[in-house]
Amino acid sequence: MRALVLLPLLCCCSPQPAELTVVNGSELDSFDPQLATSAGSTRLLSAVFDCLTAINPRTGELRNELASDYSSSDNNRQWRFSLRPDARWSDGSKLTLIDVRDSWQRLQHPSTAAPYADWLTDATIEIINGAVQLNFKSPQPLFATYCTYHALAPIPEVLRLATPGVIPANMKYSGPYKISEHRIRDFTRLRINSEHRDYSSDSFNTIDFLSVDSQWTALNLYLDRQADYIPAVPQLSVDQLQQRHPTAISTTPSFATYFVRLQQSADQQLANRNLRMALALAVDRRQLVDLIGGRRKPAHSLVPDLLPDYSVIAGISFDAAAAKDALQDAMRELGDENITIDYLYPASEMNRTIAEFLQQQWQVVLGIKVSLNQLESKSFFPLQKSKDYQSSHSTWIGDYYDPFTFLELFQSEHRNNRSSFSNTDYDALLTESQSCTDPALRLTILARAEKKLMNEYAIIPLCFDSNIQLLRPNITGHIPNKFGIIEWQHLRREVAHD
Amino acid sequence: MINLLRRLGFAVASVILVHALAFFMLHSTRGGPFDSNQQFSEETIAALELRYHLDEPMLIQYWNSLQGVATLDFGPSLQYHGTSVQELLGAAMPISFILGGGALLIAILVGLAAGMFAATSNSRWRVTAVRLSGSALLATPNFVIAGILISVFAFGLGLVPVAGHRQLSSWILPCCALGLPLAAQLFVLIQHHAQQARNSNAYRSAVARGLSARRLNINYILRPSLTPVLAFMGPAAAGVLTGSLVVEQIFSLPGLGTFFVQAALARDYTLALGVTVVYTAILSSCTLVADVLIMKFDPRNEAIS
Repeated sequence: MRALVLLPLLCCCSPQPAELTVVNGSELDSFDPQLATSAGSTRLLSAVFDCLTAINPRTGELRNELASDYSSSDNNRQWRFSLRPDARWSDGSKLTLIDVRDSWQRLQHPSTAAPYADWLTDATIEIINGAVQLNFKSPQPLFATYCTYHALAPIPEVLRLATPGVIPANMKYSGPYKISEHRIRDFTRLRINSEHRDYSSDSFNTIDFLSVDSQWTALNLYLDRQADYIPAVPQLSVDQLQQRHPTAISTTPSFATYFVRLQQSADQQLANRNLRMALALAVDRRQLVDLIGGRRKPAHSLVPDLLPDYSVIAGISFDAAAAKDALQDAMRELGDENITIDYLYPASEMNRTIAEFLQQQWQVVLGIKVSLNQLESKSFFPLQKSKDYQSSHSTWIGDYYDPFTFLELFQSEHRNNRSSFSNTDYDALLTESQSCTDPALRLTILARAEKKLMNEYAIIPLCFDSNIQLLRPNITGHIPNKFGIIEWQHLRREVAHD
Repeated sequence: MINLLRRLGFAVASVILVHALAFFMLHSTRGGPFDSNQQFSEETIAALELRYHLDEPMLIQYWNSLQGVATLDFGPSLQYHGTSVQELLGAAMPISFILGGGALLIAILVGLAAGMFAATSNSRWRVTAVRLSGSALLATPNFVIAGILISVFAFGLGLVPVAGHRQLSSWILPCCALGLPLAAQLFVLIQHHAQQARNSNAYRSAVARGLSARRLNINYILRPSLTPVLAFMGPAAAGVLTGSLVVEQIFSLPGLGTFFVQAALARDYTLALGVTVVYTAILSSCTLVADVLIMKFDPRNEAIS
């Protein structure tokens, strides 16, 4: 009976659809920019919070957003940011340097428990001569790039004073939109922020971000015209969508790499370079990407081919004969004719396909017996972090657009180095890159480090990820780009086209 | 009355026992709520554990959790920052109740009608057709039923929306997808017991007395068949009212069903315990209601119990 009463009530209380509807994946982990980490959160927060800097979607270069100017000195240890004079919150009040300083101090504070607190760990933050000034103990050449991420976006005082994660009722926003309504695991409605410098009455007045767990349901909603944009489509549907909706579907490379971690502590067989080399050369990456689909690209190195000034290095390629030779050498050095490999991976349909492919490749090309061990992800990560595995699946999504976000993972003391790889030359190159003030030279040093990583066969790169999305063709104003950037305020609906 | 109170006591004890089992099983499983590909710093993990009281001894955590159950305050969710478990359950329960209520209604109407028809009809081929349909529904998983319903009624005929819950019509397909397999189970059960009732001496003597077909069907076939149906419907209703992971995902309904799997996989201890307690409470209530109804329909059961 209660259900019968609730039904009309629920339907009557549901608002009319917004002018633009986006399917945003599962419910957000947080609306607090300093705590959010999921892709869905990043997408939504990019519409409601402006950062100090931003990536230009056309060129991939860094540009000012809330900052009017920024500079670094003292070998990238000191950074200064000044604010544009028209920076405002959605209630019309001025966004000040105090907001920037206090937001960063909140991020730093241990009680916030912010995942990206590390970026400001040893920094002192002050307002000096009309700018926020940060002094780091060690060089931070990428700090301006970090500032493109929502974790470093200025947040209003009401949020800074609230319990971390709790969004107060009188919340203010700095982006082109503001959150006007949120229904848990249902939808978040954004309304245009008329105080924003890019405000235009032609922009969409309202945007709904739907929480939808299943990619198939998202696709159904698009096909039923209940959604205009879905950022990820099911892989099995790609070919049909390409035929039926060629103007709606688009693929963009993602700043993410699939690779295999190899446990290299002294007591492990994989401490032997020749064995690592044999395994790495025995993988036919072209076959792999054809098998898993999704328009992924074979990876021969670690850093994805996405950055304007950083060329992908010639890394590891499939070479069955060389793999066999390397295995012979390894067996001689290890004094073991019956090498077996354990491969650990987190449960998912695609990870299982990759695992079975690697098992088949290593068995066919090298004659090595491979045992597969699948775990659900919450059990998998503690095991991988405790280095209690021989080889394991890994995916890494760059936090910011620079090779360092990938390469730092293999520094000897880095907490995400889960394979015991330790190389003094590699560490020295990364340290050198941090204190280098010439951007071009810095990237050259990082390329040398990546080359070293590949020469040591520290990992087995598999493929670079990609995003396949659907955007209704009558939505205009979107600049296709490799960085997944959507400038929501510039989107329009062309009525005649529909 | 004493019987009822005793059963209520059992229900409360079940909730406490299930909560304790779930609490210790969840906490002893490898991996924690903050384990992910991105490894947080030790300071961040420590701050999070402090915030969610995960740094306290296990027994203290258990005691706090039990107090939460008593006051219906399950605490904050560990995966949705800034959202309490009550808020999550409060938003999800109406959705699941509507979905489950609709599915139950369809199951009872379709299952009862088909079961009675199969038991009382003299048309052999019609009975065979109904039985075959029932068997087919019984053997078909609800995600297949959902897919067929979407293809035919949403994309094919365009009669209803493909997913969502903003329109009244959008509830039809998910309720059917969840209710039809249950209707098939009810059909089998009713048909079996109605057949038995039809072969009973009581029915034959009623026929000999020349009672009308309507009275025969209601008093001598349907009524005796309802006791096993009610016994089955108690736990089945609890299952349906607490949602379905598959149906909710296919039709994008933010109900309780998704939490059962998602909360455990995410090691969201508070949410997982919240849904476990809610499910146990609903299950106990539905069983209790079914028992009361059974006693009402057939007082012999009270004497036995």
